[in-house]
Amino acid sequence: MSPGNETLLTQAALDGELDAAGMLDFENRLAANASLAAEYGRLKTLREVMRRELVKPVAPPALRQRIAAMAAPSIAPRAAPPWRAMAASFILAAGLGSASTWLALRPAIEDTNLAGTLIADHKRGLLSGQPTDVASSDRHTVKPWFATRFALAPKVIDLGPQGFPLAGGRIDVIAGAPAPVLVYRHSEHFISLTSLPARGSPPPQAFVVDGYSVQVWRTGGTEYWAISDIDPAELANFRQLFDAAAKSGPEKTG
Amino acid sequence: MTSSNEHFAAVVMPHLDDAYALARWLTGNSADAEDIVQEACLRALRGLDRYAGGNARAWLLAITRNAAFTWLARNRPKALLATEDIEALAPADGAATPEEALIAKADAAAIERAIAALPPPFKETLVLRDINDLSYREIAEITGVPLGTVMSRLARARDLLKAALGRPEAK
Repeated sequence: MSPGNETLLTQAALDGELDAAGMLDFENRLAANASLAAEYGRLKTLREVMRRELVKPVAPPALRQRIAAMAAPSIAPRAAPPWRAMAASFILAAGLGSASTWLALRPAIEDTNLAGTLIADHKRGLLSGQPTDVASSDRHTVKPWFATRFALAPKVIDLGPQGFPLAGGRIDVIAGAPAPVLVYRHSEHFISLTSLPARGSPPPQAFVVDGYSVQVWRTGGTEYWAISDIDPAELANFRQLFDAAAKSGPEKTG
Repeated sequence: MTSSNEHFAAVVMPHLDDAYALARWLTGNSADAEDIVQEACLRALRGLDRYAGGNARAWLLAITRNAAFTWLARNRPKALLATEDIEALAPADGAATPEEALIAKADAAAIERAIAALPPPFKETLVLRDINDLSYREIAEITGVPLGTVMSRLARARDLLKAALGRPEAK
């Protein structure tokens, strides 16, 4: 059952959707019909009560900043095709791969499987076709994006001239805490660089898991994890370049 | 800044509050609303080329609305259940005509509860009209239903609200 015409007309009058002729006609009806007038009164009261009591929610400033930052990048949506192609090849690989692929995709709970977690996050970023939450080759965009989320934003260094342009940043949750991840590009491949607080004994510095190269190093209180499917030697080269740039000055653009 | 970024800033940014308000009411919580607005703005950014000018607010709200329903389908499928035959449901009992005085006394919490309890198609129509202040035509465009359906959904939503707020125990 749908509401009668009378109801719809009353409502349209209240919502200012009637033209002058319609409104005149409605007012005449209202004067002649007590039950219609009562219904109009209730609707009007409902409207007034809602206006009085409800506050229209306003977008939080942090959200506004995040979205403004989203628009700033220069390579944002156009870069989709290579990612999509990559995602497709990853889906294929995941389908063909052994059960261990799926195990690696599952978030690891234990700290002991940190490498597995980071590789899974790296893969997930590629599978979703969106390895970054903020896509930008401009560190002046990526840095503030992180700064709104972390008390201590990570060092953002562009290594574009050295063959590793910045692609953007994202946030992964590692061992229950959010961790900043910088994403770099190397020809058709991506590198995820996660910054974690250095704790306990240092892990091994370079290894390969499931075809992914991993480099781990510490600078000050930060432990860096670089993950990629590029050649281990190339990832080691990336690490050296990043480390050198990080040490040569505060966030110098290479 | 490229022209596409300026375009985004001009088309999307002025209507962020509207998008957020809609998402906030559709999900009932601010963290989810933030996720949805962010997703909607990403979609808007990708689809900026296809935006042909015209009503930017309605355009962004349509994207936000779709993002919200995608999100709800994924995270709260139960909230979207049983909405298929919604237009055919019997209206709130006409015999128990709510008292105007009781409606007038409703407070914010009671109104929020009553809106939250509305079936999604009624809720979105009401929110677009009474929170976002859109015209019937704009609502029809955003929700993709005929004008008559917008009008009847709105009437049904308000009927349910009046009934909920006019009940003596609601206060």
